[in-house]
Amino acid sequence: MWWQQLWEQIYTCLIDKDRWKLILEGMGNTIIIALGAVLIGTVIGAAMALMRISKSRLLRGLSLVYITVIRGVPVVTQLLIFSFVVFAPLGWNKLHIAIVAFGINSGAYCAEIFRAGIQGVSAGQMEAGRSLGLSKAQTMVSIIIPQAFRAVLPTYTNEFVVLVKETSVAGYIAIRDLTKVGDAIRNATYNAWIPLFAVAIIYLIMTLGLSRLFAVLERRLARSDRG
Amino acid sequence: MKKIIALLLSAVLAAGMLAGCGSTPAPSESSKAPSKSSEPASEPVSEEGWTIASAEDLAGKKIGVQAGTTGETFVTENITDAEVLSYKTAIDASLDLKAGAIDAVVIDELPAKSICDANDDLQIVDIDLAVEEYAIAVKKGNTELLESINATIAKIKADGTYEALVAAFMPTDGEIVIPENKASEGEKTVIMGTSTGFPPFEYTDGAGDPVGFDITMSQLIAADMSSKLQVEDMAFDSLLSALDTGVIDFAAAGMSITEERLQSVDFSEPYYSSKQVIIIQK
Repeated sequence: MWWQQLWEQIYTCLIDKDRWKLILEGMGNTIIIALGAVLIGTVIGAAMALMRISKSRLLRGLSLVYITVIRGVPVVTQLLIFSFVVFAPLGWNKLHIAIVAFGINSGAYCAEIFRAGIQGVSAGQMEAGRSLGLSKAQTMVSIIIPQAFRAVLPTYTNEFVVLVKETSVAGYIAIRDLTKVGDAIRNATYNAWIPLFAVAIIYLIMTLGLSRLFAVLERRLARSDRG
Repeated sequence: MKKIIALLLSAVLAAGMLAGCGSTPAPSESSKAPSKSSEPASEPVSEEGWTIASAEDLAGKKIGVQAGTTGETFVTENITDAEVLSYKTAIDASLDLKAGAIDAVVIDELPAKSICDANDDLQIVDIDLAVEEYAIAVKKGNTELLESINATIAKIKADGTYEALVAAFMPTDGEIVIPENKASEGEKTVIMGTSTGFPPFEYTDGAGDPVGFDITMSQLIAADMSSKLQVEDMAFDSLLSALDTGVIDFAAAGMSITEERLQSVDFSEPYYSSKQVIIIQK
């Protein structure tokens, strides 16, 4: 029976010899790296976005260089550079190196996303705020940024989802992330199908879950549009 | 109309995927093939009647190798017109060999035996390709660590531990018994780099850390240094640069001593003699 054969394969690849624990470990590492990276990326992105639209030529130039360089180099290459060239000689933990590397990478993309959001709010809002007597900073915080936040949420969700999948190259620096674990199982069982499909389905579940969460957030924010 | 087209396309895709799922090749009627897949045949014949009597027979074929290994160097330098495909591990190469995407895999003898034991449709062709010796690599100039490693290797060869290791990981009856981890205590930590997917020297068995001949030997080395052993599992071709930048302290990964490698790292005394063999479909 084909389903018997399938079940046997699934058993060997995912359950036998505690392999499911391996998969959980991989999933855990992937989530840790993605969460850490998104936090760092959001902070760096916000800072860079504000620098990008500031009056100071120096700040604008700095953030432009950062964004261009980080966006222009593949994330794998950045990860390898951070690991082999920058941080490993300092003796950092592998996981921390990965979080920082992916965070710095994500920061560049987040910066552009936030900048687009801020500049997307109509200029009339800033003028209205100033004419009410608020300073530039106060207008930004109370009027511009809340509107920008709602506007960028879909794109930001996208960036988060992409980040989760990008962490799949963490195996290059010897981290046991979900993809590496799938490789390890494939090497041990000589079966390519089940581990790869299992890993794919798990990634899908993770990204779907994230997208759903953000969709809920979007709907709640959109409530203020009614009435 | 659009929905029907979309449904049709998904059905075709799904059917295509399932068709490739778990296909078992038909047993070949090779008259000269031995019964045990891991024994090298004297004149092996594959399904298509392709014989390999010497290395020249590999000319013009698609040959899979592991990136960064001496097998890769050998095939690139010695086999005329071969199309060399570099995989991350020999096991990945063997998967493609099973599927018929490549004609042969050139890899070290013991992993090849392990691969053929696990796959009935593959067999080893044992012709003298290249003989080499495995040693442990350290960063150039790290004489202190090198001396410690050499001392441990000499000690285990003299007191019988080496034979016990060989018996444990290359058993005559086929059952591998993984020795207990001797280096889980210690104030200092020494970091060892390896590349799993190379049984029985390093491979993953279940949910724990990598295991294997190299790993147990590294545990003994760490124990002699009163240190804890930390195993870092990375791609084979990343090991040398990891050594150079200090990501790992030493590399034990079934790595052979070559002139080229000697230019960037220092090697310990050799601890195992091996050779390159060819894996082909039965």
